[in-house]
Amino acid sequence: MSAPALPASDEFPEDVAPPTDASAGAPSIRRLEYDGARGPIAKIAVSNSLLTLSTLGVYRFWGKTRMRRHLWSRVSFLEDRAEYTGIGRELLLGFLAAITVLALLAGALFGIEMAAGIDHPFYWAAQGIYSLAVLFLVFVAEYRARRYRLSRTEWRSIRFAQDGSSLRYAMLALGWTAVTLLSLGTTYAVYRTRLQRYRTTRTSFGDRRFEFDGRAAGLLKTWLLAWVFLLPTLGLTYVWYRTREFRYFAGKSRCGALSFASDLGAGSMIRIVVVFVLLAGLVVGLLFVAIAVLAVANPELVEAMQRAGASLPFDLGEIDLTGYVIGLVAFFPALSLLRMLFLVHPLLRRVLPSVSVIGEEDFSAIAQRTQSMPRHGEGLADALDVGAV
Amino acid sequence: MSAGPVSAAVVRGTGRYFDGERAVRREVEVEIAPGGVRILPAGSGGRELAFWRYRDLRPVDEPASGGPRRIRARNGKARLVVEDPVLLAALSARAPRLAARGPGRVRLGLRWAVLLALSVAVLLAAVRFGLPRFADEAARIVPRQWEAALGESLVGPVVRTLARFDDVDEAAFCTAPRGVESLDGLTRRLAPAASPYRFVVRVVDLEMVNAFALPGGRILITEGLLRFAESPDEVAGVLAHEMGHVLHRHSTAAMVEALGLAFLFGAMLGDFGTGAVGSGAETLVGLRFRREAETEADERGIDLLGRAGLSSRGLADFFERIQRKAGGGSRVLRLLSTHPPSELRRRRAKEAAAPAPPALDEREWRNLEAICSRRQPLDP
Repeated sequence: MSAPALPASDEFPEDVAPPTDASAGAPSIRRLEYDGARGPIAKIAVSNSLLTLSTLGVYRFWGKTRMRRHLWSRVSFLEDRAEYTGIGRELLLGFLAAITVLALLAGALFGIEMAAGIDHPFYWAAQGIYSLAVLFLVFVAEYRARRYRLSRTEWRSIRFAQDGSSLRYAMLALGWTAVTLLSLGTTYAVYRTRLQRYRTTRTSFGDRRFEFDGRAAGLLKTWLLAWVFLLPTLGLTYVWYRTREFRYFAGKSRCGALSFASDLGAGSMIRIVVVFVLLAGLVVGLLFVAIAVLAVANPELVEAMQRAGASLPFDLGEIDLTGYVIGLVAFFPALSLLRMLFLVHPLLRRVLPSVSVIGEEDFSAIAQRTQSMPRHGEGLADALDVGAV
Repeated sequence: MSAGPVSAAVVRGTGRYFDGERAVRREVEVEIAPGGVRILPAGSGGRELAFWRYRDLRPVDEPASGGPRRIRARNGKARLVVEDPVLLAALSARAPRLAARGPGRVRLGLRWAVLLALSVAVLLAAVRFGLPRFADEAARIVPRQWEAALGESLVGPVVRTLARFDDVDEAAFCTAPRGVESLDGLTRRLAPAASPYRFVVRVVDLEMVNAFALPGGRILITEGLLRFAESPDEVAGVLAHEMGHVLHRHSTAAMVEALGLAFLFGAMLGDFGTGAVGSGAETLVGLRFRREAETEADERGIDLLGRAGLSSRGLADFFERIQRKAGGGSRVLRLLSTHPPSELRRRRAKEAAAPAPPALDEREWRNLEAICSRRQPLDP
C-alpha cells in the first residue's frame, strides 16, 4: 500500500530563506523530521528508572520532563527544532492537586461503604457512580494533559495551545463511549472522529487555529472491516485501522494556508507493535521463570509469598530474598527501557516523517498568543496513568 | 573580569534567532560584547535585536558534543541557535551555565538531590507518625452504626481469607446450640453494662489459633483457639482482650490507616487504581496492632474481667503459653504473632489476678468445646 511518493524536505534548501519565509512558486511539500537515536534515549530511560526507584517515585516528574525535552528536540520542521518547555515542578504540583480530588472521591466512597455496608444495594449504586466518575475523570485528564503538553511545545519560539472545556470533552467522550458500547463497537469510528474534531479545532499554533473537516463516514468502512477481523487477527486489524485513521485525520486537518498528509504504512506499525508485545512478553516470562526457579530452590519462599498474598503476617527472617528483590528491581527499568526503545521511539521514527505539510504559509504573520496558559501539569493524567510518553 | 583584554579582538559569528513574537527565523550576527552578547540582524545596519547578559544565558537542551546549540536568556521567550564552534567556545567561556557539565549543572543536581531526599524523608515521616494519628482521630469520629455495618460486612471476607490460608475449601461457623449458649453467656457477662457496642462472638471452624476483633463489636475466634485454651478462664481472657480492641476502636483505626497507606503509595508510584477501597478485609486479617494498642486492649480486658468477677490469670496463662510454643516455629502457632505476647501483659494480668470462680462451669465448658459438632457453612 504505497501512497504517492512525496519529496523529502531536503529538496528545499533553506539557507536562502529571507526574513519572511514566504517564497513564491508552486505549493511546496515538506516533511516533519525526527532524528532521535536509541543511545541517548536509552541513557535517559535507564537513569530515569534508577532515580525513580531510589526516590520512591518522586523523581518521575523530572524524569518525564527530561525525556520529553530530549524527544521534542529531535523533531524538526523546516530545519528548526521543536522545544519542550515544561518543568518537573509543574507536573508534581498538578499531580498533588489531582490526588487531592481523587482522595476526596475515594473518601466519599469509603464513607458510604462504612455507612451502608458492602451488601447494601446503595453501596453498589455508589460504586457504580464512582466508577463512572473515574472514567469521566480519565477523559478530563486526557484533555488537560494534551492542553498542558501543547502549551509547553514550541517551534520557532511560538507556543502551541489548546482551549475548549475539558468537562465538555469528557461529556462528549462519555456519551460516545456509551453509544460505542451499545453498538457493540461498530460505531467506534464515529467516537474517534468526534473527539478528534473537538481536539483539533481547539488547537492552535500561535494565533493560528487548526481546522478539521473529517467525517466519520470517511472511516466507517475501514473500521467495520477492522472490527470484523479483530478477534481472528488478535487485534492486529486495530493497528491497521489506527494507521488508516491517522492518514485520514492528517489529510482532513488544516492550519491557515497549510494542509497535511501522511503516507504512514500499516505494515511498519504492525511490525513495531508485534515486536514490542513479543519482547515485553519475553521479559515478563523471564521474570516468571526466575520466580519459579527461586521457588523450587526455596520452598520457604513460596509459603512466605502465599502468606503475603493472603496479607497474613509472615517472618522473612530466615529467607534470603536478595535474588527476588534484585529481579523485581531490575524488572521495572527493563520494561520502561523496552517501551521507550521498542515502542515510543520506533513509532515516532515512522509516524512523524510520514507527515507532509503542504502549502505556502507566511510564517511572519503567525504571532505568539498572549492568552494565559495552564500553570500546572497534567496531574490527573499522571495519577490515573493515562498519559503517554 | 577578563572581558577587557579579550574584547580587543571582537568575536563575531552568525546564528539563527527566534524572537518569541513571530514564527520567523532570522539570520543574525552574534557579537561578544562586554557583559553580554549582542544579537544584530545579519548584514550591515539594522537595530540591535537583543542584548543578553552572560550570566542569564541558559542552554535549551542538554549538552551534547558538537553540533548547533540552542540558547535562551533566563525568563525570555526568544531563542538563539549557534553553530559556529569559535563563537560557542567564546560564549561558554563567559556564560557559566552554558559550559558543558559546568558547575551550574552540578549545583542544580545537588540541590534537587537534597530536595528529593527531604521529600522522601517527609513522606516516610508522614506514613510512620502522621498516618496513625490521623487514623486514630478519624476512627473516633466514625459513627458507631457505621462501625457496626462495616464489621458486619467484613465477617464474610475475613472468614474466607482465613479459610484460604488454612487450606479449607468451605469456611463454616460452629453453631451447636449448647455451645453457642455458653459462649453468649460468657459474652454477656464480660460486656460492660453501658456498652456502646452489641458484642457478637462467633466460632469459626478453622485449625489455626487466632481471634479477631472487627469494628463495631463483632468478634471471631477459631476452633483451634478453643482447643489450645486449657481452661474457660483462658477463653474469657482472650474475649476480654478482643473486646478491649473493639472498645478502643483499634480495628477501625487500623483500616483507615491501611487504606491511607495504600492510597499514598499507590498514588506516589503512579499506579493509582480503584482497588484500594475493596482491600479492607485482607488488611484486617493481616492486622498487627501496634504495641500501644495491645497494651490498651490488655488493660481494658483485665478491667472487664475484674468487673465480671473473673480471674485475669487465664489471659496471662494463655499468652504465656503461646509465647513459649511460638518459639518452636510450628506453622499454626506462628500465626499467633498477630497477638504479640508481651512481658508487660503477663505481669499486669498476674498482678490483677485475684482468686475467682471459673468463667464457665464444667458442663458449660464441655458444651463450648463441642461447639463445632454442628456447622453452618458461610456460603450455604
